[in-house]
Amino acid sequence: MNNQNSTYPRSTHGAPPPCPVAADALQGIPRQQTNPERWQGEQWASFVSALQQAGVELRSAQHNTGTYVTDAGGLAYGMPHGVVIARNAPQIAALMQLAQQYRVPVTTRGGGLTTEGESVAFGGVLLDMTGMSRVRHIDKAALTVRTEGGIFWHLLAESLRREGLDYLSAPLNLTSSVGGTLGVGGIDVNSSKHGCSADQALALQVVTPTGEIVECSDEENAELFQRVILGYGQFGIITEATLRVRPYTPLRMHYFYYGSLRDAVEDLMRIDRTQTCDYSGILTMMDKAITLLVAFDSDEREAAFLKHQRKTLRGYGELPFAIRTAAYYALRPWRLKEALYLYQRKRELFPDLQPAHHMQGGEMIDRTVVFSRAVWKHWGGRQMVIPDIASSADKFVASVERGNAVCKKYFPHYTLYCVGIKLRAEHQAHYELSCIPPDAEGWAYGCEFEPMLGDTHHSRDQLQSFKNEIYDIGVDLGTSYYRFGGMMKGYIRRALGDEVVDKHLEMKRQADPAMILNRNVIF
Amino acid sequence: MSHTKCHGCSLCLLSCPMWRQERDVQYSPQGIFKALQHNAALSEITPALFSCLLCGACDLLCPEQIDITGTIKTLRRAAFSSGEHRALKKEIESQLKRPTTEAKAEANTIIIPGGALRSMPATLTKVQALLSREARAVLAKDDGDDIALALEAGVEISEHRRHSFLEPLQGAKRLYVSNGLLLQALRKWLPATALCALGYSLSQLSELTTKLTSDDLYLIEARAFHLDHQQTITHYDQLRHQQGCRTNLDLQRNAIPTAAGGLNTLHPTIDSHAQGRWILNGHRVARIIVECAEDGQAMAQLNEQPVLHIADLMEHANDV
Ligand code: SF4
Ligand code: SF4
Repeated sequence: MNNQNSTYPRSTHGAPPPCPVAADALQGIPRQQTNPERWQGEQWASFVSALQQAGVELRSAQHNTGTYVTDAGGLAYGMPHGVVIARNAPQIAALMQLAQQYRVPVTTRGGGLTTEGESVAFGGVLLDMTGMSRVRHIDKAALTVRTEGGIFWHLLAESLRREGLDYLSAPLNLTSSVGGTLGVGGIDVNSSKHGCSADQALALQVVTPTGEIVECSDEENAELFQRVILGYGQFGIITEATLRVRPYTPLRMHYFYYGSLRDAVEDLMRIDRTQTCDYSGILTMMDKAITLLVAFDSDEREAAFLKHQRKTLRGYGELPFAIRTAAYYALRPWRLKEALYLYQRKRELFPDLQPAHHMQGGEMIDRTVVFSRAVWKHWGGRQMVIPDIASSADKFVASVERGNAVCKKYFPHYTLYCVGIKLRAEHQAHYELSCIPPDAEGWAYGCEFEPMLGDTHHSRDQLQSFKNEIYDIGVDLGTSYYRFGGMMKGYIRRALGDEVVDKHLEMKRQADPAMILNRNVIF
Repeated sequence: MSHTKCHGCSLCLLSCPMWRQERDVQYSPQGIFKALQHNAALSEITPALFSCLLCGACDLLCPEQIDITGTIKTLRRAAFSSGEHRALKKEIESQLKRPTTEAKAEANTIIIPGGALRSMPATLTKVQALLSREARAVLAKDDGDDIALALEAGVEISEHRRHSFLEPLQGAKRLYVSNGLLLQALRKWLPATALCALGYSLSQLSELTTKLTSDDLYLIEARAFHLDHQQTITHYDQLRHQQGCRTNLDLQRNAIPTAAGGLNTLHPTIDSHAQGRWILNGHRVARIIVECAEDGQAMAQLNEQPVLHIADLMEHANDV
């Protein structure tokens, strides 16, 4: 690790750095100060009047712009000059043409669930995509859905369920928007089977940074499709998407408990390779109570797993693990506080993972809601930092163990969340400069490291240093990250290398000559 | 006020009919609260404040446990005080001044059916018969529809009017109340009385519920449902599983309201036709069964399936 020199590089106050994706690329501020420079509003008045003439409504009262002042992370704060509620592709096209002409930054926002300020507008226009949140068409025979890009996954799930269908995989937090998710990945506990959400997209309608409305897919305008999928909003705004869906099934959950991170992670990767379960993931309370969850879409799959795979898992059932943990703490009475924390958290959390009215005959009928609500209730908060590492399978144990050590150093209470992501060989081009590490084959693995901040105050410096230390592990091991934009964009070049970054930067310059769409997210 | 606790998670949007219609965060608790946090004048949030149906779904979703509907009612009062919606306020005040009867209802059990159910005499007779099995239930002379409207709008109710409404109810041990907002207020005003939601009570009668089939869509009255969510969710979930009927519960297990009746009739903001369509969306059913008369009227407007009040699952009142 060589992070001593690179973590806190010298400030370049005032002058924009020569390279916009350098370690200190947030213009005019040192790394630990996390907000980028605000756009100063050059040509704003002319832009506003041109927008008015084009019939695009712009809201600029303080109470309109203030609604979008931060994202789910609650650490980056910025005010747009004005807000446009997305209504249709032609409206967005008109906005982008004028924004390009007047060089006004446009920041898109769906659910605002970024944590690094990626959906916060530091001046310019905030384009609220949730205004485009209707399901256009469900094709039950072809198992596809066409939806507007600003829709929350929750609303999509609601419409699909009425037809006995379900999405393939979506982020656990269902107030994420479909368009935003396709731009960054989208990981669920069934990503080990179905891949990330971005891999479910069959076709997109995109408004380009210069304001053209283009339909794209693997067959039509394939290059644009490749760039927009997992493109962190740099190459276009997703106004509509066609997604693969599947027949709805309730699921049967099983939990196995571990005292060793390594054992749990190895078991997770092994059962993913066997493809014998439909959902899998790890959720921990620090490194003391590690839960491997597996779930199934059918009784047959469940029975086969329990017969053949269960015996190969090193995890315990609930009671044996409780006895083991009690014995551990009985021998270490000075850690009573930690034991009480684990006990309390389990008591609060577990009922919410199987609420009676979302269960039926032992099956979970609404994973959509259960996970999403649990995420907000037990992991959400006014401030959230969730640094992560996305690695190939062979680097994953080391990533998790080293990240865990960093968590321990900074916070008494934290959680790790690990899942596998099945890769699609034919989508290799989509994965370039994304959270999918270039050396991953078959599956990529992601681990999120989330401190339980609660109401305790933590300085931004402390939180940023924590994130940096996690990300430095990624640099050292040669991994990627899920959240590599916004405040963490200084890591892109260091983690993924000059060649791929320069290639994408050049493509971005061509696609977005004024560099106005979602600036500061990556470039 | 508790709106300062809103951190913009958007969860309240998920079941919000006002947001669903507008697809604009301004029309949601999040939008209202964030605007207030950024110095919005009341006049700037008035359209959203008066579009809210006070259905109560958001109260159950907010992780900050903000009393959203309570806050909206308070803000409505403040908006009226600052001169917003003068005509609406006047109209509600004039309704509150209408003559009322103060006849004392000599009964242990009283039903307050509300004007809409009262306009369906045959159904009301069945309701009365069904709820009279343990003790004879009498119909209140005063439905308090004006009071319910004032509660919804945030218009002050004079002591005289409140007294004239409550006086005949004082001696009762049990009240069945159709309107969810009235039910909520009565629980404060008459703390010693057993106060039951009328629709919920009917839905507990097996002679009615056993007639529900998997071809039915059962419409739960949203406000009363959300008011007692912990209890009602278990009950309706069982009903759904036992009878196989569809319901108007969304994925969050909140009840989708029809937007019929109350303030939305006097000051229409939410399209109850579109709400009805959304409730029906994807459900291929033969009948719609409602427990609230206003919901029945709204669903009948769609001219799709026959709409029945739950009490009408029984053919004759003397079948009880
Ligand atoms: S009470 Fe109903 S209509 Fe009003 S804000 Fe809440 S969910 Fe929306
Ligand atoms: S659910 Fe509560 S905290 Fe979240 S946006 Fe709505 S009002 Fe705010």
